Amino acid sequence: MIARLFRLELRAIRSDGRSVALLVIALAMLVLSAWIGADARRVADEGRAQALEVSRAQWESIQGLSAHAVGHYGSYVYKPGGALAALDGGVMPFTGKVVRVEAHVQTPPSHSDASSWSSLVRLGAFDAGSILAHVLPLLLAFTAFSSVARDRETGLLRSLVAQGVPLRDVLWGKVLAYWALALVLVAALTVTHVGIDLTSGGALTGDTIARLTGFAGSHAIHLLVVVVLSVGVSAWVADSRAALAILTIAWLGATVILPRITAQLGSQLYPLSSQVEFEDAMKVDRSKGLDGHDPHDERRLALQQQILDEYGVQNARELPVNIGGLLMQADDEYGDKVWDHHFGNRHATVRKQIGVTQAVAFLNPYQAVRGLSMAFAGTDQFHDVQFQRQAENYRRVMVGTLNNLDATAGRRENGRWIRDEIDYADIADFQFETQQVGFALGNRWPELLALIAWAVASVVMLNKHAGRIPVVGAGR
Amino acid sequence: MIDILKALVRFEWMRLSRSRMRASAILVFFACGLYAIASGQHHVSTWKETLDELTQRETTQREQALAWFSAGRTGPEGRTWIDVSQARWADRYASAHAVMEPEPLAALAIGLSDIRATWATVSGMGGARPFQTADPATLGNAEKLLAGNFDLAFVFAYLLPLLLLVLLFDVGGLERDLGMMRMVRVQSVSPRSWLLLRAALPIVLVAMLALLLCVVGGLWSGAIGATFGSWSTFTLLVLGYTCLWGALFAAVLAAGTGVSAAALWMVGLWLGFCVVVPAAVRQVVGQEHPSLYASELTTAMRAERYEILLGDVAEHEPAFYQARPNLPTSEPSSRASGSTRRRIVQQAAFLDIVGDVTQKMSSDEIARETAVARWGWVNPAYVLQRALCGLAGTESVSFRAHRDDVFTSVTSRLDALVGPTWNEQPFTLETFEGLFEHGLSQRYGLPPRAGTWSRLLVLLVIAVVAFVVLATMRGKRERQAGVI
Repeated sequence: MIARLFRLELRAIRSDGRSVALLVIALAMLVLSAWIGADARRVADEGRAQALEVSRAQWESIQGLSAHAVGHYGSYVYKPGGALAALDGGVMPFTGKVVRVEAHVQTPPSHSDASSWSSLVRLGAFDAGSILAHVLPLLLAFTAFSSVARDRETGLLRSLVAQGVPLRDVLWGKVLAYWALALVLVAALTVTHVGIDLTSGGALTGDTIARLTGFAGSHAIHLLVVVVLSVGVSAWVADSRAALAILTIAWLGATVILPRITAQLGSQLYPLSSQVEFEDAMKVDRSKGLDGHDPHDERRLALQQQILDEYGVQNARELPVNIGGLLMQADDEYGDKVWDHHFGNRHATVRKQIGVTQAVAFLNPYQAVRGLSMAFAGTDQFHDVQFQRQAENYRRVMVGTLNNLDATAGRRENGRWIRDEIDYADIADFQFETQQVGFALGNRWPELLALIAWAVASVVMLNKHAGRIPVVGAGR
Repeated sequence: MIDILKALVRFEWMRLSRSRMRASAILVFFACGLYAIASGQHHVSTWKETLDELTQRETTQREQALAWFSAGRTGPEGRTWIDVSQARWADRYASAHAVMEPEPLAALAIGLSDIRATWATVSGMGGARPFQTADPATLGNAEKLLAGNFDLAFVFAYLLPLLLLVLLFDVGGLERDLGMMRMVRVQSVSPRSWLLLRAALPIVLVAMLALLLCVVGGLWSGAIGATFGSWSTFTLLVLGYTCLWGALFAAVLAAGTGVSAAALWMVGLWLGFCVVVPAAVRQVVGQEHPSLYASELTTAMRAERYEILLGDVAEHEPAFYQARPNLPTSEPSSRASGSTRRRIVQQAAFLDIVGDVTQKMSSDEIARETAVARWGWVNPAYVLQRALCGLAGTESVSFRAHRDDVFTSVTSRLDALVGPTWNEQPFTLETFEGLFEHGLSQRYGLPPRAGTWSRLLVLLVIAVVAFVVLATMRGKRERQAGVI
């Protein structure tokens, strides 16, 4: 029976020009966004390759500099796009994508896209993730709000009940019809994305397939919740105009108001110190360590003595190594601890702020799917933090190598340290290790749980209350 | 006519007071507005706290040096290499910042103030430091930025049309559904005037709500007292935007397509103008003018570290002396003085590069914004937001002006170091205090650009014309069909 009602509802949707128009518009928007997203990704990848080339050429042309000077000269690390950034840009436009890596200084990423845009960036993005999570639910609600009311007004619902059709089957026929249309849209988007990716030379790795499945699956579950709620409201509210208003207000609350309020609540519950306070606190802690550049620094003198004792010599001019390199390394290692402490605290606070959003996802399925969508696309805050960590690790390895070269690449002649000529091209460029899909799930399990809970709860509610919906309109 | 108007007001009031849905929508809108003002106010107070922290930072560092001057010394005991009578150390200890002060209206339109840096260190010899202020977003929660602001500008640009939608979507359709149109016809007003009057009442109500929120926001933020002109323009823009949406929705109602279709059209318009068009324009213009990986700036920063700092200073001297023809050309009397001169020449060469790069970045941004502005005719939400944020000094144009000011302050600071260094005059208490002037604290609120009003006006005219045409067509159709 459900299958027959499902086909009946599909025919009703097909005969309604407005519903067809809305679905065609949604399909066009999704396909267009996939195409534009892929093109944006291509432009960004080309830009990154170009920047890398310039930066590497500058690095390889270094001549006549000591390893320590090269540490100050530094290098640049460029953030790659997320695995499915073409489908969901996530936080990428708001986070820095260039990190300067140099000795003694830990620089946070800078040059975000948003920092060179006007306030247009505040009005949303035209990517598939946003369209699926934000726009499509509204279109579905506007298509489905009168689904039951229409049958009630035309008397079809009464006839069906009179023929012994369970109301539950009627509702499920409608839910499955609208959800099937939503699934067609999600599938069309997925196929378009894969097609564009393959034709432009991309490779479908296991991780990409898993991410794509997660991305499409989470949106599919969210759209199921939206459809069940839309049909449910249409069934329980006798007046279709009231149903429309309820769905519009619910959509507005869920996708526009609540996410903003939640984000602000999170930052008020777990406030971050200001940038000035943060920088000053780091500076104070940094000053408590060894100062590799200050010849009178007490900690430096103590370490110098320790090194002299280890080598069993009286002064630095007798050492078989350049003491400067060893002192700089000790200075940097202390700086690393300061970075770990301060940035660790900051990241922990941000994690707590996101935790508030994750908790609210149990009240709002939109926030659940938004987090999952970004995570599967590899463009959420957690993926961004991974980039920051990897950039910092690269900095430590690079500076450690340079300090080691500064200490050892040379020879002592008559008490003077003579540096060898060093080919800095041997120091490899930054390679970003992409995170696997498990990383996304590991950080976003609350949202996944919330979305599943919403799906289960809405299905149970629909089943439980289906028998009690009004069969006739006003004056029943 | 007056009687009809009175009757309509009574009718609308009755509908409003009896419809829980409408009353709740109005209350929710007003509550959102109040929350937005409180939230914006919180943001501005955090902004001000940062400025206080910078002042504190400046004071601490300056007082250290002033204490040395008072004690007849030039640096701390035990750290003999610090000498504030020399340009390098005077520059460091005469700590100064170029800061963007929030306009009172910034509490109502946060704009980009949580994305872009609102301050920078002013240092003549600090190398790249003044231009390396981190992206605030990177140090914070980017997902919060993605979720978006909840300021009054957002409430007006985004939520106000939705409130109008909820109040208007069944105007006309209700009469048709209840079979009242024939009765309307026998009254002394035409169906078009009836529709217009009925639509006008909710529009006036929403405009009054918007005005009330503007007054509350203006009083709370102090904008009415401090910048009344800007606040008035802000309010006028909001009222104009309300009329625009009212006219757009009235045009939809004039088509007389029934409640469901009217609601669909209205949501379509709102979705198009407030969600799809702004996002699509951003994406399309982003393709035309991508913001890539700032290679020009990173190259300039590297130049400061390598080509300029470690390169041959003689390469940069001709340009330096050409720009400052009155400088004495005598040789420095000491090695230290020579080293400071070289550093200043290198820094001036670096600033020349930064100046070029800053100009290039600004022209890229302007090109992008010009491309976005071309779509302004179909992007009213953005046109309004841009104008409101411009007034509040939180739009990109304000940040560009701030960036230019940072550059000017740094250049002035460097120039202030040149004279004493070349004349070999140590910094005294007076000349040291003179360096404090390079700190800058400015507001950047700007009146709306010329195209703002015309863009909103053109859309309004189109909506009014559409209303007249659609109402005429509908009247003709209904007369033919015998509905009225």
